[in-house]
Amino acid sequence: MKLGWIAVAVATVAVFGESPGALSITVQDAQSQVAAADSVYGCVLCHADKRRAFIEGIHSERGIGCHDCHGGDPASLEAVTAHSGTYIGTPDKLATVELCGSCHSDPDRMRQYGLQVGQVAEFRTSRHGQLLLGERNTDAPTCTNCHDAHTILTPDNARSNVHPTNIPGTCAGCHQDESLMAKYGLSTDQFELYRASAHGVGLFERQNFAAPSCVGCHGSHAAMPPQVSEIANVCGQCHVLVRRAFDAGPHGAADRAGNLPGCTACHSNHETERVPPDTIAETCVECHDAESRAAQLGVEAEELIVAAQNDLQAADEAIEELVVAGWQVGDLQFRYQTALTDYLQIAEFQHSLDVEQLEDLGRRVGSISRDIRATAEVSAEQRWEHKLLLVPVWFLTLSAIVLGWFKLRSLKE
Amino acid sequence: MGRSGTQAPLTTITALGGASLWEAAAAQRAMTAIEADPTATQQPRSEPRLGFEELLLIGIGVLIVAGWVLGIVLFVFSTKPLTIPEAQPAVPVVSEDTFQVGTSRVQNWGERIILVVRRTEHEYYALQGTSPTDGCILRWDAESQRVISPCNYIVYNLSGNVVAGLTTESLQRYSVFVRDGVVYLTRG
Amino acid sequence: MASLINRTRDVLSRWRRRFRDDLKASTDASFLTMPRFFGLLYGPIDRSLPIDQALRKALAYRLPAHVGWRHALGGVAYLLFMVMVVTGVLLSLHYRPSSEEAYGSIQHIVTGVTFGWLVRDVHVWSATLIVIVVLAHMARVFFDGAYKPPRETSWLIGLMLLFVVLAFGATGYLLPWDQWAYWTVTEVLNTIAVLPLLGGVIVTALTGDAFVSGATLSRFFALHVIILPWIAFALLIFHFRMIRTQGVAPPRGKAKSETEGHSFFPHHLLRSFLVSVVVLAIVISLATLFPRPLAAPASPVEPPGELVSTWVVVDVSLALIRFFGPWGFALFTLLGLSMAFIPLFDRHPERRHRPVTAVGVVFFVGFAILWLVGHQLRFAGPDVGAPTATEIAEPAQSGLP
Repeated sequence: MKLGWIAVAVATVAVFGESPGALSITVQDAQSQVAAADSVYGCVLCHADKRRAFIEGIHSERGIGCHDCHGGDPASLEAVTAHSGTYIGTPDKLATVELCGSCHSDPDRMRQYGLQVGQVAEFRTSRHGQLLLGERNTDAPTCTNCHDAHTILTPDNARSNVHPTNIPGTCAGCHQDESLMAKYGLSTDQFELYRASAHGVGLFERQNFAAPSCVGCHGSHAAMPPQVSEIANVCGQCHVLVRRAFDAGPHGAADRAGNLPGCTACHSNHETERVPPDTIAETCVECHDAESRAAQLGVEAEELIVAAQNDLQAADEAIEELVVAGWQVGDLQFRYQTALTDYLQIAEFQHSLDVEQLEDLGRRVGSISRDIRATAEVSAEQRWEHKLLLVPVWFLTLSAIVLGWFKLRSLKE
Repeated sequence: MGRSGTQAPLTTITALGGASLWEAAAAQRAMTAIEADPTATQQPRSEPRLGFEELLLIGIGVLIVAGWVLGIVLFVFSTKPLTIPEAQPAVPVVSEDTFQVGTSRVQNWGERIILVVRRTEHEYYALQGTSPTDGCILRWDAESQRVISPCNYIVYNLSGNVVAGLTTESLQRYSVFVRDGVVYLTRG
Repeated sequence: MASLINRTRDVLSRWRRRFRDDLKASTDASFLTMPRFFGLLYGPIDRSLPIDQALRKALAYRLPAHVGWRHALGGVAYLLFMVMVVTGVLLSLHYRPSSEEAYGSIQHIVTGVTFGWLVRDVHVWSATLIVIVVLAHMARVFFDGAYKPPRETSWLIGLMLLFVVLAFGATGYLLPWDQWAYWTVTEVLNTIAVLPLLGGVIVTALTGDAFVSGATLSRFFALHVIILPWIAFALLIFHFRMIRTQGVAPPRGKAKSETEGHSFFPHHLLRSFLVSVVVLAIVISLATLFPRPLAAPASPVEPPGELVSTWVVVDVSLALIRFFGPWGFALFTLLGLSMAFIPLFDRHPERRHRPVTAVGVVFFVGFAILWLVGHQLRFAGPDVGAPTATEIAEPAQSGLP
């Protein structure tokens, strides 16, 4: 009896454990192997590699088998009979959409898993969907291009193609392909620009999942670049305070009237760089006439912001000097943070172009900076006073030397 | 004639004052004179003559020594206490009476900045007072009962967790206790 | 009864007489007038221990004629050592040897205590000057051939004193507990740990922990303030005793000193006084004009961008470590230690021994050159073999159809 079980075990390992990865079979693998062996699941006899890919994924966990998507007869152990009946083989891109949608658009089926059901409908509205389903253009991706055909992992799994940190790479798989994108007149630098941007750095380096990946701005299944009039709303999903300031100002009005491409008027879409304070006036002149009131405002704003930045820089340097001189700087550091808070608010509220508010904030930064620098000056003055000690010291020393010299001479005689 | 004897450090001799050195020299000469002539008395015969040069040198020596001694005395008796805020187990914030219910205070503890909120009469919360993304000092919004950043859209709850906004990093929490009517902050 | 009264009267009259004698003696113009005048007990003390007589002998001591200004270097080294002791004791009144409070206490000394800045900067500058002066003194003794018999023991003790001075500086260097102190010590300890056999043992004993931490600070403080001072004082007493017993070495090429020179008082005392005054003025000037800056508080997590050296030996050590590696450092130290054997090879009072001179030249000139090199490195960051950051993996590309 025992020998029989050993024989089954050996047979199982012999059949399923043919690759170098066999030694790392997990308990779960072993169990599903035994289950598969029990039900004599014929597909795996030839398609062991597909099985290995599949059992890592969520479909396998939920008890879905090969035949549930591909059809055919799983009980059969020979290819001819297995590939018969409902067998569809590898579905093409269009068929894939239908196939996946057959379950994933069914609310009754998806409710138990807490999954949304609008993906196919969304896909239809997307550029990908328009190309694939509308024009039958197979350049466009289907479900399995992003989600993988067999290793389908949930988005919260870090190995999934649709995990936040992996999404840009998944999109870049096609969108960095120059020959492919050239057909549609699309650039291929988005991934590189994004990676260097604040969003990319936040996502990849700081694991800040509040930072958007491609789908955060473009949508996932309904992927489409935002319309010009939609841009401010897209950025405003997260940059709420900037959006409010923007709406309150003349640029907001221009955006609503359709005269401005939202945030991308001054900031790039993928690089999303800050406008350096000393180039603000230049940026204004890109749209406004150099003599206009608007350009004047830009110059005023630039001067204000650059002055505040310099004040902050000077305060920071003063604190450094005090640390070097051995002072405790906890309280000064607190004041510096207050000034920094005001300065960061300038960066935000400048979008409303309310110069009075900016002046007010700038004044506060300047006053705190002056106080900090005054303390540094006190320290410098103390250093100078210390040097006064040298006067009596050297006076006494030189007198001693002179008198001693004379005394030594007289002693010699 | 051995050259043994206690070693006299240079500075010690200088420090003991120059005045009697000359007298010692005179006494020494007197002693030599006594050894030569046993009938002479033990008292030194001639008074030592301190020339102007010698007096000046002695004066300078005395001034130098006095300067050092004065400096050391001032150093030793300097009584300004040493306070290292970071090393304190707790830091006082404000008295309970002046801390209105529903308001907040920002307190610095060494180089840390902490936001203290008095939600109800006996409920205090203390959170990291600066935003982990940009160092902006946070505020308490009583209406929404949330901690917000005035610089960027970030909203935290009183446990320090992110509710909405541009970060996923939560705030460090601190403990608060009240003793003798004064509100204190402490770690953990 | 009458005899009792008589006896008491005798005793009292004896005391009275002695007291009168002491009072009269206290007004005598003599060396210890002040103590005598204010301490009428001095009489009995002086009678039992002839302090006054001993001091007179010391002042009358005659130094040989060939003793010149260069012989003052040893005395200057001792003066600087006393300055370090005094300033060190004063600093220890305010310093707190714990990793939490050390930095704050230094800040307090420098900004909160009257003349604290001066005491601290004098201590720091004296640390540099004492090394230079001790090496100059060693060089003077070496090139004068004053290590030859019977003065080998003095030479050996002197060499041990040099290493004690270096140990003082090394242990004291960590005490400010700022970034430069912490990471310099870490780099040097890492270097020593690499050496076989003893390296690991020495470093473990010194560190007291897996890495430089509060435990290390405690040990370094104990070494600096308790262990090394005892060793130093013992060696100094021995050193002075030997010099006093054997006298100043004769001029090079002669077996004995020729003429008797001047007495210590007033000739050499005056010279010593002038030299002391000048040295102290230089120390105070350096302390006032070039105060030792304080870096950010020590962070075991993050090395600083630059590592500034505030002691001459650190410049030399870092130059050795960074250009010649741990073995360069060890070899130079061995060269210094091997100077102890010089008297074995050069014993004849009149002969000049070239290889021996060469060794000395290599050591002293080498030290100077290494300092120059190390000084150029002052703005490099620490080389502590920190793990390099791993490359951020590119996000997985999806499988293409």
